[in-house]
Amino acid sequence: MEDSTGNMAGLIVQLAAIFVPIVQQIIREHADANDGDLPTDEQVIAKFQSDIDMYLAEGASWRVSHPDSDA
Amino acid sequence: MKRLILLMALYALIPACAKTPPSLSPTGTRFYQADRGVVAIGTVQHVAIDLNRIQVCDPQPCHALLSDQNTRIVVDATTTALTTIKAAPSGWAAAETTALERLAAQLDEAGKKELAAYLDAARQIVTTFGGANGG
Repeated sequence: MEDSTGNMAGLIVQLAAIFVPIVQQIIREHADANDGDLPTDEQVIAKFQSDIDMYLAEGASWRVSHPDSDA
Repeated sequence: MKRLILLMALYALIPACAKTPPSLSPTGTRFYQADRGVVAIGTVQHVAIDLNRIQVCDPQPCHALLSDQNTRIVVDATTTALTTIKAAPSGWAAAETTALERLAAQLDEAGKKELAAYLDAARQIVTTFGGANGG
């Protein structure tokens, strides 16, 4: 039983040693083919504007539901 | 749990800010860095609003975990910073520093304690990456 378990563990380690680099290579090639999914200027500027608008809207919405009694 | 995830996300901005994607032009890089600052101060506001929604009843009477007064200070400082950054993205670090200084001066001790980790993370993003290039 111990031998059988040891063999199974050894087999898993061997399979992992074979397949992990293959999977890593596939992921690397996919990333390269898609320019590494790197953002463009337009995407970054759009995200910047959208993030600002989102947080400004969140603050404005909170203010509406919590009117300042001192104001 | 959500607060922990937000805090981790905030700290994840630090290495992300350090390594700007090589695909960006100098203009794109400026907006990328400014967006790190926007998310940092925006996260502080988001957490403050979330804490303001939570009611605690120990000690009585029940009250918001973060008071309305403290939340309003955060929302006002964030709105000012974001409006400034929207108009002049390259000045994001200065705008955020001003907001953080305002929070440090105006929040009461309870507010500072509840938001300490988020304020530290935002401060770290500004001090580490808000240098000569504005981020």
